[in-house]
Amino acid sequence: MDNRNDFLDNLEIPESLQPEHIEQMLNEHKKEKKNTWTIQKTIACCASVGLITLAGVAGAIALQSNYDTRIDRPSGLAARTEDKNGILHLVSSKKELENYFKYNHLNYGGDIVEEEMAPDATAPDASDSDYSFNDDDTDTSHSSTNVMVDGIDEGDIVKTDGKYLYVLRSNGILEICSAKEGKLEKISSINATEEDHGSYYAEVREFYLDEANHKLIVMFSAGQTYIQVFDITNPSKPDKAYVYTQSGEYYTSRYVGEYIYVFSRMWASELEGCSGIPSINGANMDCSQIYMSDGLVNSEMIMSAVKVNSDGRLEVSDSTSVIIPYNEVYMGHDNIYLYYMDYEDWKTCIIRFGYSNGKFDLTGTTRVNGYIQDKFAISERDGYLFLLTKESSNMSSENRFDVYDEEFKVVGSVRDIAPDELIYAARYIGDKVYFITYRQIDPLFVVDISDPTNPTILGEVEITGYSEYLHPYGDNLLLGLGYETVDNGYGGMRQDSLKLVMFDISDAMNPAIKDAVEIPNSYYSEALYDYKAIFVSKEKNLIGLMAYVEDGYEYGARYFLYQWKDDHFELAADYAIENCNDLRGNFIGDYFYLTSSNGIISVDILDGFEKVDEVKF
Amino acid sequence: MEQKLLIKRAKRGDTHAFAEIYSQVYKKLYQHALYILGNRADAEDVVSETVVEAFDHLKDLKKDEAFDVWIFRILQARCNRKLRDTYVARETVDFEDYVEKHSADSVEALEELVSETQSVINSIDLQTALAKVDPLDREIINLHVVLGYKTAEVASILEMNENTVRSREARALKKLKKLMKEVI
Repeated sequence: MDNRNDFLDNLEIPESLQPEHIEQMLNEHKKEKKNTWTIQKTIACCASVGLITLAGVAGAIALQSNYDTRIDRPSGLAARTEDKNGILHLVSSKKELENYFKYNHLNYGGDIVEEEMAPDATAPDASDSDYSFNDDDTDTSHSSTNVMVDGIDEGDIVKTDGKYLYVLRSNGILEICSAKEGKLEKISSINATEEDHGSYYAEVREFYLDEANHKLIVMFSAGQTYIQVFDITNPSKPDKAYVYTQSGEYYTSRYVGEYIYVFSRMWASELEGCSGIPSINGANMDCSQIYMSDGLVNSEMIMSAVKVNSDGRLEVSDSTSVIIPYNEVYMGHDNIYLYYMDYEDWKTCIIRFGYSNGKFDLTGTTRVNGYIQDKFAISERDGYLFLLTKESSNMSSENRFDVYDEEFKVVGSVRDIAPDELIYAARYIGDKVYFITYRQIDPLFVVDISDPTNPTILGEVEITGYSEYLHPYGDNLLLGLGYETVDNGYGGMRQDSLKLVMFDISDAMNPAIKDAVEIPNSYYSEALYDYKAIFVSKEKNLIGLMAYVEDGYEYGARYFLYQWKDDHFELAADYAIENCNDLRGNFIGDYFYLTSSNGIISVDILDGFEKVDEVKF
Repeated sequence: MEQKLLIKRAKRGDTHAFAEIYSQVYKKLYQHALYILGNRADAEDVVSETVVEAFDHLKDLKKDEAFDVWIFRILQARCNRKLRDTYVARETVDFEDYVEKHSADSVEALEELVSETQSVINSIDLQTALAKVDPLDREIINLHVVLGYKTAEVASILEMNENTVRSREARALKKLKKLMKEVI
């Protein structure tokens, strides 16, 4: 570290960037802004008509300059179809793409990424079917992965079908364990990446469980993105079946109906090396499937709809690729939204694709003011897009809620929500959206969206601290996970322990706090930012999460299980854990299973959460 | 003074408080911009633009402790714009000519940087080898190894998955080692 500081001290930095100059510059900048504001205000007072005219002219100028920068591009890039917002257009030829990257990335000595050939898909061997799923009366009701949108499955590192627990360890080995009334037994292991991937390190990210067809579908990256299917008709002898590959690093995926929608990303430097044309199962994509955006981008998002047949065969239904800056993905029941922040004008660009029957259809793009602060701040329903955004300018900021129709026209809005506060968590449930803003205290807002053209704030309730994640708990309750905050002695607030809050949302006009509990001595939980890491089951009346705790001189991680009893949180159990990464909670019947990368423990929910069994991997 | 308090004041428009936070990070910002853009004038422009943007939008900063990551992201976006502006301007310029000129500038700037970073990476050979590494990997190495950001922070700045950053870096370092052997 000292070395680093030495070198930075020796770095010759221009006078204008020295802190004292910067302070001066900012002071002038502040004055300038104030002046502009005063002038505008004066005009507004004495001649509102004049202002409108002025605004009109200013708008025209803005449009004009916008247009100017857009036509100002290398001639090779001129002819194309453009969507009306100018965010995307189809690539017209391979040459255009080549030119684009040639011009776009001034990297000397760039590395050409070696393209790997996809391994041949091999048919599964006829599996010994001596093993059968015997139907006894064991309770195999079970939990499933906590997902963003009900009905749209997401991959995870642990899944269960009520008979087995499938656990993906951090070393890439997938363990299969039987779990019957708390008794655990290791059945088999799968190494999804045993093949040689050359210089690439294989990274298994997550998997899906196709219960009906007894398949495990593993998603991993090794120089490109792989989908590897394993047949687990006989779980003690998993069989490697089909494989699918596409360019880029695995980013995320969704499993809806028969299709897995897989998203991967190639980085700018890789694009340059391979002309930006991704490959699907080893074959180059057609240019007509590639969209590009203006300006300098740093990545290409490749998305495919891959049909999973009942025999496990993977069939590509459609692929498309979008050359855009680093983006987020939201997938609702009708559309896929790719969105990203354009830091140049602090707007969010949104690209919408329909995806019915595994076919992508670019149906629109737009740019909206502000940015989307939370993964759960975006939602769609009945052709409407709902967005909670924060817009800031000139040292002030505003949160707003907007409803867009299919043409991306704003049809309803709530503006000026909690000015200068930040949205920490949001959740769309039925015809309401709930969200948390925070500065000193944590208000929960309830907005009615049953009439999309007239969203209305119904009620709000305040509590100290703030929630980072919201999860419905039955119909009338809403669970919040976040922090308690306390006075920091400087007139501000300091974050204290982790806190669970239960909001009563039965009366939307008057949401209320039912109970709040601090997790003793805790300071961080993975569940704050990874919703798959929290376990919430109304059915079993259980809430589980891991938290790092600090108790005097003792540091460590514990897994906490809470129950909701008589309108209060009750700590049901807590377990010391060694390996605190990749923890997941699941239930099967009346047993709770806590899995980590090192093993599984089972506890009896009905019998005081006593430990029943344990396996180590 | 505690950084959180400084940020709080800066959020209210206190330029002195802002300058104080800035003083803790500006050398890194400038070094990184120089590293990406390869010339001093552009790096200077980009850093001062970044400062104004950051000051105006400081209210957007959600987690005060992540100030470094946040301002680096803005810097990254400004650098990208700078590169793009150059790309638009280039329409009238002969392409081959431009690349040649630009590369020459870059090599010169890189060499300058090399002498400045001697105490960290005191080997010309390593720098020569580094120039052959994928540009994104070089950025990762610069942020992590040279500027000392944690992998998680590098991942946030570059808006990449943390595992990806880790595996890319491991791969790049492996490649570097190989290249170093060739150079020596």
